[in-house]
Amino acid sequence: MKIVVCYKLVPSAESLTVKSGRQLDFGSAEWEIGPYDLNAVEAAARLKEASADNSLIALTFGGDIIENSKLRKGILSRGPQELVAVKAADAGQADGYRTAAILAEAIRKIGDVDLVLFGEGSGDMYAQQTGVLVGALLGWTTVNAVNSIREADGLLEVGRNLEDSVELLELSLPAAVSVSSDICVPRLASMKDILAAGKKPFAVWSAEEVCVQAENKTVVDSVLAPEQAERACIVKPADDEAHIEAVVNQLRNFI
Amino acid sequence: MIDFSLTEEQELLLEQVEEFMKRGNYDEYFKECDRERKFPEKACKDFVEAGFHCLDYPQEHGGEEVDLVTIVLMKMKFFELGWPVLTLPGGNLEIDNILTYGTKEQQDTIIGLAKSGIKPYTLGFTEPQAGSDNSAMTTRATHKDGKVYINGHKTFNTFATVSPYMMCIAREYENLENPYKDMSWYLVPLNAPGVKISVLDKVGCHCMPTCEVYLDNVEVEESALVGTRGKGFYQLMKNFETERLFTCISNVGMAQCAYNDAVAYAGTRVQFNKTIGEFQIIQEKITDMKIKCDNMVNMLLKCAWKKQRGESISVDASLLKRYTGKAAFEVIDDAMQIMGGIGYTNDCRIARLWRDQRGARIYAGTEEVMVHSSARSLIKEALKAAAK
Amino acid sequence: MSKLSTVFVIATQKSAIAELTTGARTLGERVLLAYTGERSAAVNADTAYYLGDAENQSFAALIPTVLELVTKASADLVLVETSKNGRLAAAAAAAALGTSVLADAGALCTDNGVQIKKMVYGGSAEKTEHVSGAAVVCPAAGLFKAAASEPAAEIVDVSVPENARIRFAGRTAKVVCAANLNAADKVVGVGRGFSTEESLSLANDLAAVLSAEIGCTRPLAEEEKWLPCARYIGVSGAVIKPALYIAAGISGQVQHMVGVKDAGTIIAINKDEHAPIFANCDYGIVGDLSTVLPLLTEKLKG
Repeated sequence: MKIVVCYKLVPSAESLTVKSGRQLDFGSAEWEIGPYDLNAVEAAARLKEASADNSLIALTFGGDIIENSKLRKGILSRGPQELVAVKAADAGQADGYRTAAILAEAIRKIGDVDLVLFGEGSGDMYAQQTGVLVGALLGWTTVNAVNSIREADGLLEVGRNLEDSVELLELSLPAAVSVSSDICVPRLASMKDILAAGKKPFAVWSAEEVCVQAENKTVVDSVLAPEQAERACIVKPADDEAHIEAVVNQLRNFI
Repeated sequence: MIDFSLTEEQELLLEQVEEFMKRGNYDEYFKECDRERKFPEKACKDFVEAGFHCLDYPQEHGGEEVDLVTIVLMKMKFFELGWPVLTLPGGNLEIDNILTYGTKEQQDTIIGLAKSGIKPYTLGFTEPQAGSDNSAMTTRATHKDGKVYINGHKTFNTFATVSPYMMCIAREYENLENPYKDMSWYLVPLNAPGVKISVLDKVGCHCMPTCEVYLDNVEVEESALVGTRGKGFYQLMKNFETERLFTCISNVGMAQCAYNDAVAYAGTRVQFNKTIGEFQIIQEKITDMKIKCDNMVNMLLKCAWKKQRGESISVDASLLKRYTGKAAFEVIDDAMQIMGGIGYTNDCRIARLWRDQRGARIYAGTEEVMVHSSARSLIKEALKAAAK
Repeated sequence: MSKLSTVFVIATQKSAIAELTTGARTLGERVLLAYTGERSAAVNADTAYYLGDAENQSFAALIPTVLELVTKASADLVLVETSKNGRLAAAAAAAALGTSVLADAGALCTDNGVQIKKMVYGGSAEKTEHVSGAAVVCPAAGLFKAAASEPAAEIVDVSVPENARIRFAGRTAKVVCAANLNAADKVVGVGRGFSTEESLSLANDLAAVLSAEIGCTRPLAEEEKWLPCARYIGVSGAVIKPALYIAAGISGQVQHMVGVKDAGTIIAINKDEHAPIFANCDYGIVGDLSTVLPLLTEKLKG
């Protein structure tokens, strides 16, 4: 099975600050592999390791950040054998449709792919749609909410973790599968994998090379930090008896 | 050309350490182990499962090909994040010794144990009447009928209750003129008949049992000899270089742990309507603590770098041991002072660091003996340089 | 807001059908519905397409059929239930219509195209975006409230051909978490400050005396698995608005706090004075959970 796993590099929420006018400041943002994507990478790595005939390529679409060598080693130390990165200067403004269209074309360009895996949602937008959009655009067997996955006789056995039941399905390949974050705990990269990561092959393709026609369908009107709720912030140590009494009195109001 | 930056691989490794510690959430567990005098088995098992100990043994045995500076950075990070001293699985020192002096068979045995995360042997050097003065040791090796019989009393043996072996230095009583040429190393299995172990009651380092071992006519094979018969004392001096380097990793890590806790506290604890970090005496402490931490880190990494390059670190390791032992103690002591009352309670990890680190000024070479082992060389070097 | 011509609703849960079609009625002249589950659940629609009870098949297998109905209808807006199955259908519909999904819409406006608001960056910000032309929207919980419903004017039974690519191999019902965090007006949240599963009993005792529900942060549900995922509060879990929220042993990272930012009163207990939660609470107690929680419980009992 030739497997591709998609991931997105996102600014970590904790590293964002708010500047005047409730605008987000990305100036000192720290970039990371999207946390939900790590679950998908782990699931993909385990599938690849289950059979010597399986191979795994990591695929991402982003701006300049995709050429950051430390983040590249970060992804390549977690199981993928090579990396394909599609780059566009305006990738940060790409909506779900444009992202999915570009990823779908990249997968076609990689060629002969049997399975593409996605995380539950991106770490920044968390719309939970890219993986399914890619599958739909490729016309492949497409499912989401997968929390177990196993290759069996050329088919994929998956469990879908729905709100009130878990359903077992057999999927024909090629397939696009979005996994849920409880599928498995991402591995810690071993030093061996970290050292090997820098030597694995990687390619950078421009978005134009991959796909000419893929515009945004959504227009962003604004991105604003929420109005800060005013909280009283009366914080005291536990040995402050008067404070404990005050808190208990607050709680009594609710009984 | 000096480059102080970490490689990306080193940064990624340290991130894995941080992630491991975050997932493990071991603070309460370490506190419990310290209080109940238990080895942190659960955390050590997780550590070995994650494979962090693989950096300690050579590639031929399935380990990772990694330079010493990287190993030191990694271990320092564990201690910085609160790992109890002496309990980090791994066996740099034990493996270094056995690779230097052991036979292939001995290497396989020792490294095999280290690979499973077990501390392969405890150092059996010190005796009640032979601490800094190693040459005063009297444990005896008697050769009879093709076997060797060890008789004596060793003390301050770390983890003797669990390690399968002791690297026991014994006197042959063959070279009576020169005791320095009369000692040998023997790998003694601690489950052999005649071995009696009891645990010492220490002020700190409660997560690691330190023992006394009585050896009553313990029989070992001649093949238990490690290195050259009679050269035990010189082997010991070489051991000390390595032992001092690795001991200092925890000095530096623990100091950084205490510093981080104390600085954060100074920035948030409010007294007299301002944070205590706004008072000058606290500011002075923090400044001087940071200077010591930076110095310790630089000195430690440079020493590791030199050893990696095959240069002798006999003087560097002594200077490192003397400096980091004292400086770490001062940093931790100041950290406790900054934390105030709660710093003196066992609820606060600085209390444990304060008790634990104090031992490092004594074991693996006292800070006073470090003067003895470096000053003469320093003078000699200076005279040589002046003569040029 | 001027009304759209056709709104197409896709849903599998009875409550979602009622809510989304109520909303659809306010937005569009004509409301169409594609649904599974109980046949009689079709309400507030001009035509309802019934696709079966979806017990012995996966909803994923029905999607090609749903898409045929959507494209035939020339809908201006496709409103899809925000469930796992719903998201699958929404993205498939969006691909077919050549647009993006407007997901987790906390607000919806049809004056200038279709415009929504949603939380992004782990809850650090709110994005407002719109599409012109046909739109696909998954509303956030509570955006539409079910009003008095009338049965659908027409129900059409749709036969669904077998999906050769997705074979159903079984279904296991989940013990549905009895708690409905969204409905609870008092919640006690537990986080990493609890180092063992047994210690959670301290929080349970406090919750019992307050008749509060228990919620948790993501690591306790997904990594430690001490609590079912339904109890996880945060940007990728439940977003709740209780009158009282007690955060015990929770550091207060934005991904969790976005789940409770609209709570009436927030009380935090944490032994780390620098925990971000203390900047986001009304009352904070800096102390050990093992002493503070039993103390509060005792005093409330007395």
